[in-house]
Amino acid sequence: MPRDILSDSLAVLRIVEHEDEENWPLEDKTLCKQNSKKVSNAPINSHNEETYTKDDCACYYNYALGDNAANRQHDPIYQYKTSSLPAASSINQSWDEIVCSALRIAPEDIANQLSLLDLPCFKSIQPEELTTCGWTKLNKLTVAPNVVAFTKRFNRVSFWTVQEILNGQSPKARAETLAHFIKVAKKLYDLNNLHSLFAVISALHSASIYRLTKTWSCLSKKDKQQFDKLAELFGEKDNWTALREYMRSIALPCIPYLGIFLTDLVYIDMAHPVGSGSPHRVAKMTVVLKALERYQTSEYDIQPLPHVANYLNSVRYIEELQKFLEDDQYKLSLKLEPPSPIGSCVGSKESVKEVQVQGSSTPFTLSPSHRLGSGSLRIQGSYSQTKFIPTHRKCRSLGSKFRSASLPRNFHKVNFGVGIFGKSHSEDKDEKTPAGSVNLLDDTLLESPSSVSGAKMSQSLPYSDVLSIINPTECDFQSYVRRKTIIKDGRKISLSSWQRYWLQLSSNILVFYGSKTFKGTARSDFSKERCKVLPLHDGWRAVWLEGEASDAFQLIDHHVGTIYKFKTGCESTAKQWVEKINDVTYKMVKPLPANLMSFE
Amino acid sequence: MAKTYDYLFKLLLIGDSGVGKTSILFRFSEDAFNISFISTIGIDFKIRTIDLDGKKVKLQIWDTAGQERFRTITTAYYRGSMGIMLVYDVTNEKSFENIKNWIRNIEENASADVEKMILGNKCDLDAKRQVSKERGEQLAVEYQIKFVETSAKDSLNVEFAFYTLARDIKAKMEKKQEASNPPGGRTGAHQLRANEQQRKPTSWLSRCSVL
Repeated sequence: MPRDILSDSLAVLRIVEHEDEENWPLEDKTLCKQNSKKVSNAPINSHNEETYTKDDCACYYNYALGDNAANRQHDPIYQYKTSSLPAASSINQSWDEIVCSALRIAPEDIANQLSLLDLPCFKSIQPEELTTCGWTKLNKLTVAPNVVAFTKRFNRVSFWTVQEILNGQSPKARAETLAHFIKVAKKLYDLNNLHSLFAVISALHSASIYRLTKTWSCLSKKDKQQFDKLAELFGEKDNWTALREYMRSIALPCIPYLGIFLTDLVYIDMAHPVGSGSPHRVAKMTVVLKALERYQTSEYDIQPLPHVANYLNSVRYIEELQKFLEDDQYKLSLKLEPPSPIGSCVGSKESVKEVQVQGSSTPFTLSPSHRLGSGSLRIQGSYSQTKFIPTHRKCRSLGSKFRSASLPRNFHKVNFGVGIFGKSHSEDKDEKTPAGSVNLLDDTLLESPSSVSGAKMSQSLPYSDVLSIINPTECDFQSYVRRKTIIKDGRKISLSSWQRYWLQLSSNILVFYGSKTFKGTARSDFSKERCKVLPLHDGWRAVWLEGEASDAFQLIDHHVGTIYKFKTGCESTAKQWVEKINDVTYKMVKPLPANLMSFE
Repeated sequence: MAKTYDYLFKLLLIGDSGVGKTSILFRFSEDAFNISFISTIGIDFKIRTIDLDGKKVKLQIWDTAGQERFRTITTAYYRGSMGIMLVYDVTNEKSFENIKNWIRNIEENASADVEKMILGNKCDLDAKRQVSKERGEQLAVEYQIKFVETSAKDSLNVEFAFYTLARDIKAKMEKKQEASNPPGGRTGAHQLRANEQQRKPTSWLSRCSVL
């Protein structure tokens, strides 16, 4: 059973894109129930089991709240609910390193769950969105919302793939992830999910990944060949002949790459404009729509794995910031494997061999990026690294300006507040997505600022949004505490010491302020600048440790397996903390559908 | 079968969604979108063979029409391309600003010596204009790229643009061929540049060969 807890830990979840949550096939409850049983013997879960042994999670389990809580862990419905975290939870990666990476999930599981997430999104595309070519219009979000959502899914998978690979610190580590994604791609191919398959292939063809010659040279020949074979499918040669022929040859289910259909529609629209009254317009478009309609009848017989889906949904991607994210990834890529200064030939496939030869005589040195926190995409050092560039005469002679001029002028100064891509998250006060009524990328109209994050909010969120926190004077409860980490993300912390903080609870956010003095316990003994922010989600529970020390309580995150011990110096304060925190987190649990058993 | 052309150039049309890339292609392409070819396997209708100084030059034009929102314009897409038309819409400020992003994308993904040209399309819509011709010119000077305003609707400058780009590519190719021959009457600057750009880095950074 403990493996289920770990499955949960995979479902980390800082941020959830509500749009996908809606798409998740929740309606099939019986399926979910079955799944909870199947999970324990399913061979595909063996991967998790291994990880479990490695991580030694059992100790965490002992700290759990008792049977009640433990049962909840195992219920898939409960796990579904974890994906309905309030938006505020988006902040917690700012202090919590995320344990989860794609490597911890079997390629087959990733491909399966991606397909389950893609399918409803694909099916929701309406003919009117297509015939009007609405997705090319300024008001695309209102006239072609599902096409836009589907393309967004594509880009999100693509960016996620790039990021996962770049998270590897050494070429070998990156190659491991790269190989993993090639396996994912193969599984997607087997599933006829050409949509996500192309997303992964595009990621590997992106400048940030493709130029990593050291990484590619660590890849096995077999994987490399596999990748080349899959990539061949998406050549645009002769009007996408390879892809069109392949699609013609396969049976349903299939999630096609929508792009070629969109191209065909745009060409038809161009050749036979709306006003032309040409009968060909309708006839030709109908052919395209019919083909898509057929694909829309696809069904996959795949078991949903909520923890994997949760993980995939937790990958945040803000289309608005795509350009900046791309730049960040490219810079990280340059940092991880700097372009060779002389006669560089980075990026072309041929150069892989070259580097292999060079590599054997050149010992690998740790890249400066080692200092970067994993997953951090801040520009920081990478900026200074590029500084030498403008001094070269050639750059000047070519007229390329330093910073390539294609970057915003003050790009290095720009702090977006939000981590552009899930994992990094600034704690700056101005944590606002640059939202407005107009898309930052292309001037198209947005429905509302909330659509910036692509969220079609299924409900108004009851808890404070990260963006609106945190007025330090307004809080629900606060006191001096000492904190010690017992277990972090399922790992026991052996060398952990007590730290003094001023702790505040505002709505569902716990804010920590670091100490200025060695001893004091008054507010004035602590900094005014918050040093950690912890948004509570419905997986958090506080327990008063009466038997151990009456002034102590524990704070447990059942989702990732994190336990903190707090000492307040006073019994009533400890009790109040427990009460206040549980008050907040219990309320977050959404009421269960009437036909399901409640665990409360 | 004998080749019906002397040169084959792969050209890309790049730019934001809705700037009129497809209209430009439609205006220029041979078959003017013989509609029966759309979605037909194996037939590339986005071609046109032109005559340049007595040579037949086949232009194969790649267009991302309708797919701009998918992040698929990668190294694979750029591979083998010799010329790129960067298109913006003079009535859409953002599309103009994004030209810089597209140039960056090209610098990261395409070979360094790819010929480029900036087109300010829809110049017939003067009443709605947001980007002046001067700004377009200024940008072009900044990047040392040729620039022209076009109107696919009025068929203004479209031919000119493709001929200019094709001519530049042809000139560059011939220069390269010369360069690979034993040194004869070499003349300074151009020659130097051709030599330097024989390799194909993906990144503008890697163009620097001396620090």
